[in-house]
Amino acid sequence: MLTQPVPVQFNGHPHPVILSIIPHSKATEDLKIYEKQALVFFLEDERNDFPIKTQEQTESTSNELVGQLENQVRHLRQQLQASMEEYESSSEELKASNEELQSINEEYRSATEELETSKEELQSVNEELQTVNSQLKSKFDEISRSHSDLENLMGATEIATLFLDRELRIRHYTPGMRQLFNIVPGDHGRPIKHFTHTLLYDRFFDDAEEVLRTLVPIEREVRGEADGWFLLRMRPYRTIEDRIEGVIFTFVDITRIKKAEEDLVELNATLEQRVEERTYELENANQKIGEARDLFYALFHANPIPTTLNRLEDGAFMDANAEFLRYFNLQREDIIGHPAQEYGLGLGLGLGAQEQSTMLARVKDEGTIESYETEFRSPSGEKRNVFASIQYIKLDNTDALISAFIDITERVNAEQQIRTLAAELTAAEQAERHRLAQILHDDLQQRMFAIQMQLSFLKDAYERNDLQGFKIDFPQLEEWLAESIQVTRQLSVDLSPPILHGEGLLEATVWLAAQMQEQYNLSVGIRADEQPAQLDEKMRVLVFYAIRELLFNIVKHSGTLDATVTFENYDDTLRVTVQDAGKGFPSQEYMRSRSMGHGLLSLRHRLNLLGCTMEVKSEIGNGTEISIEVPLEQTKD
Amino acid sequence: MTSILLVEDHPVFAKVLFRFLVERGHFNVVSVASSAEEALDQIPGLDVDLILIDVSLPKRSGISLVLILQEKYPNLPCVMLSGHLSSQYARRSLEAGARGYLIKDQVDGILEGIQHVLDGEIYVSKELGKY
Repeated sequence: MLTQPVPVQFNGHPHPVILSIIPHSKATEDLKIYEKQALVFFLEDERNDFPIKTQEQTESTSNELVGQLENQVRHLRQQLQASMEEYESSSEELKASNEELQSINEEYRSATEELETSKEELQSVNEELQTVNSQLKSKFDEISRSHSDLENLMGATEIATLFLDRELRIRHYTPGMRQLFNIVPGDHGRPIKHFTHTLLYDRFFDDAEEVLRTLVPIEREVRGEADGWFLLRMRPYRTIEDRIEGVIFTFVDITRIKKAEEDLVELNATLEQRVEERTYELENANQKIGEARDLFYALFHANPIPTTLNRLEDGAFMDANAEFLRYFNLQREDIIGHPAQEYGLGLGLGLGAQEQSTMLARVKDEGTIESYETEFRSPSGEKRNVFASIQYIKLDNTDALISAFIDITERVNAEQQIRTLAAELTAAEQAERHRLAQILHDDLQQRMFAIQMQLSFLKDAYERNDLQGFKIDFPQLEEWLAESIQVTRQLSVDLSPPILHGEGLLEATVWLAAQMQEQYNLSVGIRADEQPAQLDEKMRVLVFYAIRELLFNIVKHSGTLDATVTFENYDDTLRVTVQDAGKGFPSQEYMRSRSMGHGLLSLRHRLNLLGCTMEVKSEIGNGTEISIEVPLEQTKD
Repeated sequence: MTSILLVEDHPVFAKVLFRFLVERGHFNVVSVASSAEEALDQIPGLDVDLILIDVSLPKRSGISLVLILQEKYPNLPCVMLSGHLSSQYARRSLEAGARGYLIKDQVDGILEGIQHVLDGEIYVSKELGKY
C-alpha cells in the first residue's frame, strides 16, 4: 500500500515522504530472515510544491489532493512494479550470487584446509627455526666466548699483534701495538703506511708486501726503543677457506732473552777465557805434578826413615828406599814385585793376621793411619819397637800404601828405664818423707811437748813467786830449746847441705866427710891430685848424693868405718871412686838381681839418665870399689 | 794414791811428763817404759791402776800394746797419749779397748782425762771434736 505524502523534517525543512509497505510472502530456507515481515519503502515526493495550508485551505483542497494521490498511487504502483521486477531480478542475481558464494565458500573451506596444512607445516618450520635459532645462539655464545678467550689469550701472552688486509690497511690489532705504532682505536681501515713506528726497522712495509706476494712467512729480530728487542713474525692471513686476506704481524718481546743471550755470549767468552787460563794452569799443574813426582821419589829415596811403597792389592813391593834396604839388609832387585809377607814384613809390622786385616780395612776406609806403635821380630829374630804410619796413595792409577817407620827400640827401653826410675824415685821420696815425718814427730814434736809442759811448771813457779823453782826449771827449758834448734838445723842440713850450693864438689865432700865422722864415726879419706873439674850444680848435686849414698852403704853394710873418696880428672871425664876395705859382696850377681842390688841399680839408673856411668867392683872379703864417670862436656856451665 | 805406768819412748818428754803426773796429778808413777815390750815385761811385777801409753812407739805401736793388754788384763784401764790430732787414731785406740785418748799438748786435759777414766768413763780429748 501507499500512504499520502507525510511531511518529514530533514535538516529543519519539511519534505513530503510517501510510505510504500509490501508484505513479504515468499521466503526460502536460505533467507529465513524475511519470513513474516514486510518491506517498507520511504519514497520522497519529487514535487517541491507541497503546500503547507491552513485548516480551511485543507478542506478546500482535499478533493484535489485525493486526485493527486491517486495519480501518485498509480505512479507508485508502476514504480513498485518496476521495483518488484528489479527485486525479482535482484533476487535471481542474489540466488546466483548465493550459489557463487556457496561455491566460494567451498573453495574457502578447501583453502582453509590447505591453510591448516600450511599452518602445520609452518609450525614445523617454526619449530625447526627455533631449534636452529637456539643452536645459532649457542654457536654465537661459543664464538663470543672464543673471542673473549682469544682476546684474553692475546692479552696474556703480551704478544702485540697486527692484522692488515691485502691493501695493508689496519683490520685489527691488540693493545700492545699502540706502543709500537702510533695508532688509536679509530684507525681501523687506515693504511699502515700512514703510521710511524718506534722500531729501528725500515723494511717493515717492504717485508709486509713481500709476504703478501710470496706468501712465505718472514721472521726477524728487531730493535725497539729503550734497548727493547722484539721477535717479529710476518705471516699471510689465511682464512679457513684458504683465502689470503692480508698479513698478520706478531711482536714477541724478547728483550730479556736477548739480554740473556748477550749475557750468555759474554759468559761464554769469559768461560772460554777461563778455560784457557785453566788449561794453562793445568799445564802448569801437570808440570808441577811431574816435578812433585820427581821430588816425591827423590824424597822417598833420600828419606832417612825406612819407607816402602806397596801395592794395596797384594802387598807387593813397588819400591823401597835405601834406608829400608839397609835396615833389613835387603837388595832392591830382590824384593820389587814380591809380597812383603815373604819377608815377614806385612802391613803393620809385627801385627797378627787379624790385626793386619783390621788395619787394612781402616786404611782403605780412612785413607791413613797416622801413627801407631808396634813391635816385631826382625829377620834376625831381634825384637824391635817401631813408630809407624801408613798412608793410602794412588800412584799411576795403582792403589798403593806408603809405609814408614822409625825404630824406637832405644827410646822404648829408655822410657821403661825412666818409668822404673820414676817408681824408684817415688818410693825414695816416700821413704824420705816418712823419715822426715818421723824426725818431726818422734823427736822434734816430743821436745816441743816437753817444752810446753816445762813452761807450765815455770808458769806455776811464777804465779807462786817461787824464784827457786823458776831457777831450777828455766835452764832445763833453755837446754831443750837449744836441742830442738839443733834438731831443726840438722834436718835442714840433711834436706839440702848448704855447703853444696856455691862450693865445689871437693869442698862439699870434705864437709860430708866431717858429717859422717860426727854422726856415724865413719872416717873418710879424700884424695885428689888436683882440684876436680868444675861441674854444673845439677851434676854436682847428683854426684854429691851418690857419694853420700855410697858412704851410708859402707856404714850400714861393709863392716868397716874407713872409706876413701878419690877424684881423678881425665880429658873428657871426671872419675869419682868410693872404696872401702870391708867385707865386700858378689857385685856381678848383685847387679843382675833387682832384689839384691836394688839400691845400687837405682843409683846407676839415676846417674845414667844424666849421662854418667857407674862401675861396681866387689868380692866377698876383698872390699868394694865403685867408680862414677862424669862426662865433662855436658856438665860445664 | 793412784798408781800409773807410763809408756813413752822419748826420754825428754817422759821426764817432764813423769814430773807433771806426780806434781800436778799427785799420782804414783810406778815406772816409765820406753817401749811396748818393756811395758809388757814390767807389768807383771807392778801394781798399777792405769797405764798411760804413747800411741807412737818404736817396733810395736801403742795400739798393739792395748790389744795385748786387753787380752791379758781386761780390767786394767789404758789411756792413749798422742801428738796426732787425728780422729782415726782415736777411733782405732778405742776400738782396741783404750778408755781414753789424750792430746799431749793439752796439758790440763791430760789430768782431766785420767780422772774421768778412773771414774769409769771413756774420755776423748775435746780437741778432737766430734768422735
